[in-house]
Amino acid sequence: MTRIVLAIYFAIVTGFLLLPLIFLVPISLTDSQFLEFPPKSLSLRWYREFFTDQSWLDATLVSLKIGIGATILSLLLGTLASIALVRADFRAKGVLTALFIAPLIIPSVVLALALYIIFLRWRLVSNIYALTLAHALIAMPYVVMIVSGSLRRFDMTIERAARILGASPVRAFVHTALPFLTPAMFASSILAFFASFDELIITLFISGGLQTLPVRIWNDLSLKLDPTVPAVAVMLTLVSIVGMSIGEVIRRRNELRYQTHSVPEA
Amino acid sequence: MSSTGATIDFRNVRKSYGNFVALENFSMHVGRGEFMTLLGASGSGKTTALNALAGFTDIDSGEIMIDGVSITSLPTEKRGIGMVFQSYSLFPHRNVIRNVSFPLEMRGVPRAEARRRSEKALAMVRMDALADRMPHELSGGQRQRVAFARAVVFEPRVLLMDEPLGALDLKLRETLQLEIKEYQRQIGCTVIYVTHDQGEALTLSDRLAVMDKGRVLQVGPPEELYDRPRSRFVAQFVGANNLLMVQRAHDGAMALEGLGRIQGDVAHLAEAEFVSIRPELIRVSHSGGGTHPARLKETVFFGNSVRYVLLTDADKEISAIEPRRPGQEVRPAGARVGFDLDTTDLVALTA
Repeated sequence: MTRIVLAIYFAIVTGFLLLPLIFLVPISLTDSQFLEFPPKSLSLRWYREFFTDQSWLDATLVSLKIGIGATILSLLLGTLASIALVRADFRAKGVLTALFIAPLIIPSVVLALALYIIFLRWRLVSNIYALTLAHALIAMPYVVMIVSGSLRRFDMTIERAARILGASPVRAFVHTALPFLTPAMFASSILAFFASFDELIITLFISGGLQTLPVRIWNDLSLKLDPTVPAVAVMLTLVSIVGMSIGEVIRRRNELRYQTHSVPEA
Repeated sequence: MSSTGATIDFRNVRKSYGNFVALENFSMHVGRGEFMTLLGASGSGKTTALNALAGFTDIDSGEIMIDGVSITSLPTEKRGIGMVFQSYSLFPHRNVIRNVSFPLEMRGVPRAEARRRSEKALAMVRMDALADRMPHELSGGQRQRVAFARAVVFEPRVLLMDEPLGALDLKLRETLQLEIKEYQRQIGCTVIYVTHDQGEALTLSDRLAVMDKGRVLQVGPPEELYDRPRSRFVAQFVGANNLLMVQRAHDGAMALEGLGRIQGDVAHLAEAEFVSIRPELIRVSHSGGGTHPARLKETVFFGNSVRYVLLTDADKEISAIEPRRPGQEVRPAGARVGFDLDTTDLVALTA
């Protein structure tokens, strides 16, 4: 009985998660001018449309640039922050941890408005570097949460071993903790990238004339809605599935290496 | 691979964590090439002493010297010490040979030379055939051999070992004990070895220091600590022992708890509050007789020896170990026996 109830519950939850995707794929493959479900005839027309329309490609390029910049920046700063938050012992640690997670919790509109006011004053609106910085701010909580969680589980004696065998603190970290953190850093950089790549609200406030991919989609929605948008959405989904898969492979390989049980004695 | 061991000196080292004093007035000298063991229960301060020498923990006061030079303010990596850990602590993402060559890499030794020296170190611990394996593909014993090779490949003058055999099973532990001793003799470095296993300490050490509550209770060669413990703690911690409280009769004659008056030479016990006597020095007489009557409470058969737990008429438990020849009868529990001891075998202890 319980099994049946659980099975139904499982079907509902996964169905709810997958339903948008199930609709999206056929819609993107339509041959029609309009969004239709189910499509009357199939074609890759709207995928072709995406790759031939310069404004779509420009928007994608802007999003990629900002996404990669924000990922690198948040990964670097977030990892360094994690080291301090996990290893150092200081009074304001709790407050600082909360501060690093805050952009995830504060409503986007509030953050957007605050950034807009500052960017206006400092004349940074529609500056791609400033936008990258703002995206790094949004992406950093993912890095701090995942990397510091992983770092807490790291066995410090391995790093101590490196130290006593002749490595300076930085070299010891690079040779021991960093390889351990690689899967966490990879996973968090995927999250960070997509946090930036599909960010809309804050970008709308401060991007000015810059058009990122979500902004382009948003503008499209208010003007005319053609099936290029679902086609873009499907491609984004595929890209994220590939990214997550690579992350999983790295994680599994690392897990094998850091397992505590050993091979039986010969 | 060889090095001349360095001398190590701890001078009045103190370390506390909040209210907990991990090391108190800790002083010790370790000679060149000596195998010194710190023996104690967990929390006795032995690991703190090792970590202070390695530079993993700062000390509150005092000084630590290698070859007469203070290293107290030297960072860990500049101390030139090799170390083996209980958890092996091999680098999981490097294969065996690259684990071993790590200290050489850190010291800027050219690649080819590093490879040659690492292979030599691996050959010493008979792990050269597995040089390309990853650590997770090795057994515990193999991992510890690799860790040992890694710790000595750069010919350190001091080698620290923190319960290196603690995670291994008994049989392998005994094999590796002998190997470690052999390697140390070959290399010649000074070793400080930390363990809570007194058997291991007796087997391996040139000298051992028994620690309790952050202090050294007694330092000496294994035979000395076994034969002449000075305190109750050492008497009970090193090897099995019988501990008896000294009682003095009003006429000045000496009596022991549970045994009553004792005859014989007791001059060396004049100051003692407690005495100890090893189980193997108790002579059980099975055919009646014996100065002290007792009942057999328990008999434990070990094959080559038998351990008897005797209960004296005053309800004091005395443990005795007897070597056994094949076919020799083992007395069952409950039997009436007697036992004798030589008063010269009694060791005077302070409280």
